[in-house]
Amino acid sequence: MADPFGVLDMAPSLLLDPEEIERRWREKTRAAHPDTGTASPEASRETAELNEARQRLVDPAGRLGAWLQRQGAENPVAPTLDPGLTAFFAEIGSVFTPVDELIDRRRQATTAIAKALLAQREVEAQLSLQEIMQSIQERRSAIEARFPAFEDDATQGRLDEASDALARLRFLQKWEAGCRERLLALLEE
Amino acid sequence: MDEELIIGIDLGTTNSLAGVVESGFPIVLADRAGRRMCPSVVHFSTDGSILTGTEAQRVRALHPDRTVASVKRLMGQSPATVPPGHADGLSYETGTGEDGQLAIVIDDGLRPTPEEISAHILRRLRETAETALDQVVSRAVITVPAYFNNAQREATKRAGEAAGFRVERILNEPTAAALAFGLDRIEKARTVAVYDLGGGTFDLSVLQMREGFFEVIATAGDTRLGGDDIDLAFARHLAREMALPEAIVDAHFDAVLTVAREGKERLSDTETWTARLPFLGGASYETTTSREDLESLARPIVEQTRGICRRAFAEAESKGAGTIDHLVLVGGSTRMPLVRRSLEEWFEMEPDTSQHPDEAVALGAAIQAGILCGRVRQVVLLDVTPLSLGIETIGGLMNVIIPRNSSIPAKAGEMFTNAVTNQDAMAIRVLQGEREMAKDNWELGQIAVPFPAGPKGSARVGVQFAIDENGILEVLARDTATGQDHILEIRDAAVDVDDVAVEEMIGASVEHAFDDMNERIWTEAALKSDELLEAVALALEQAGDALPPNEREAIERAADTVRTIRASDSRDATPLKDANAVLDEATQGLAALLVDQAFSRQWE
Repeated sequence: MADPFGVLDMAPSLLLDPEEIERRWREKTRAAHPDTGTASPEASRETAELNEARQRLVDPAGRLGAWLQRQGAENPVAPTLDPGLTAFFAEIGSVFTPVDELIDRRRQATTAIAKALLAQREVEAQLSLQEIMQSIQERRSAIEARFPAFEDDATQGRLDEASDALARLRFLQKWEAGCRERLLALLEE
Repeated sequence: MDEELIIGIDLGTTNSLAGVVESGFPIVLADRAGRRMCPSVVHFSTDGSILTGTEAQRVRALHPDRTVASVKRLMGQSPATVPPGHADGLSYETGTGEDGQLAIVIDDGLRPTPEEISAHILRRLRETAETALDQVVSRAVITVPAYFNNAQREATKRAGEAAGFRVERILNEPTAAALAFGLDRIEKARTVAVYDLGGGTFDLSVLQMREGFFEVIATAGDTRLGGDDIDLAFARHLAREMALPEAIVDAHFDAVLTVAREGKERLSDTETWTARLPFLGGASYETTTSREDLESLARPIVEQTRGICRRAFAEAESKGAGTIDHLVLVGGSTRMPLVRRSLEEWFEMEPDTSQHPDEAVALGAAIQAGILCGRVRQVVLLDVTPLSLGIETIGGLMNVIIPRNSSIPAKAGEMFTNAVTNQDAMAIRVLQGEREMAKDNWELGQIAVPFPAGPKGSARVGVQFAIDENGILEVLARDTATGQDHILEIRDAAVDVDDVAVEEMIGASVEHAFDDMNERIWTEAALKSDELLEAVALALEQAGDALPPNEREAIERAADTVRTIRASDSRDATPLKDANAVLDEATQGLAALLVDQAFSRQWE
């Protein structure tokens, strides 16, 4: 995978301003996009690369991963969950399981009245999912707040905490996506 | 940049249009008779000649089985998804062609594919453009619903090529409409939502316009939901109201549909209207109907767009889109007051009706065409892929490689290795869709990942999935040892089905068509009855006391009817279906009560 900092010609810093990333991405896309130049497989691929780079850098977890790669750190092979996160994972599981069952029942219901009977549980499910998402966002913010510290540590060759943080952010991202999917499924008519 | 002229084409379910940018302005082109809309209809006469557009439309009621309309619904489909026979609402028969692909059966020797039909329409539009512009036209931008999958897009592109075009872009319809809306409002950053209810498809896209970029943030839709469904429901209603004998309905349904369509349009402006069918089978029929009647038939169909809108809005919000500044309406059916009222009610937004519902997409396509050949200032259109792309993995699960609503062009890679010593290839199923299980998603086909010979686990082949600016997929495999790249062909799984198996499949279903059909419909109705009766009992327990007594009585009476018919020996599905419908209708108020209760309890 190409180095996104390089693709967008930006300094490999964890503290990049997302607005700046967008601006740079727009500038380069304007020049490379098949709409504005010649339509060619290269133009298409170059634009795809720019899109991928922007996607990665705008997202804090993606940016951390790209930054670690630049620092020469190995990708965490078998990330372990600390006890705090493991407990959180169990909590999430206990919410996801009944919600999945509810979504299934809803999909099977064919009449308005059968669906309406599930309304109470749906409202409760939405609230618990939103609570989990809130919790996830808080944990993510806490990790992102450590970014300046990671940069300082790196100057002294210490990358452990950053690597660990990347693994945790990836789990949190996955769980957040799980919440979103379920919230969307509950919105289905 | 190749500056040779490019035209824009809206290849619609019901009507098609062509447009071009002239002196900096997009315009829709008219044919020799001054018509800007070309009905998407193709007729095959017995003498071998082929009619298209208005001429084909004229003979449709007389020869419905040799006239093909709404073929867009069949693009990119296969006999597996469209069983042979008369698909819902279509006047012509579908079957299979020589190579086992989906085809339309005009007669034994004449089985054009949906692509060939679309090519006839596109050819007609090319002639219109060449006459209007007095020059050869060989490049085009063609629009598709945003929610079209890979197979549907490729079929559209191939149809364009068969009509003699170099297809420069496959453009999403809501994006085209946004372009028409926003091209001269580009200075200010805005968030625009486009609600596109066409004849056969529905899309909602949320876009951000900013600094010369039109960027789609999220899109959602349904490729089998549209104005046609409203027409169908209304036609059936009118047939009942006019007491048309069944034989007449079967033989002349197209005529009824035409009248229904007219009525739908007229009732957007008037409150009552009289449907007339003179000279049908030797008699005349008429009935007076109201906007209210039409709206109660259309409401469930329009309601289906609500969930889709909420999904798109939720996704746009999660990606940081701000409040919607404009909700632009596109598509003939959005003229209905019901649609406008519903949107205001659901989203507390007054819809923007500044765009011509029938022409906005063609104008947008013309603008994009103009951008690509240098006639219009540089604007970058960044669309998204509407469906998640992935592969099937262990356990029958779908592993997403490029998530839905990713900006396109997009790419993502996966590494594969040989599981067995000297394994020379691995077959992978490529899928599009959002469901967790691979089998619930749409299969694009299979790719064969080639491995160089070697011990198990030694080969490293990187497979790159790339979706281009048309939303079309290309798969590349790179052998990391040699650095060699080659394009992996996606073998269309649908067409690959064993011929004998297909024959058997068709044969079996035709033989058992009548037995199966009735049995199936009855079973479906019986299951629904059981669900209804149980749900009604529970619901009455929970909220029955809050109902006005006459409403409760009506529910109980309807439930008794269902119970009685269900318990009888008859396997005739119709009375049971009708009874279910009455009970369903009667419980609407009760259902609303339950939902209200659920929400208000939260605030206690």
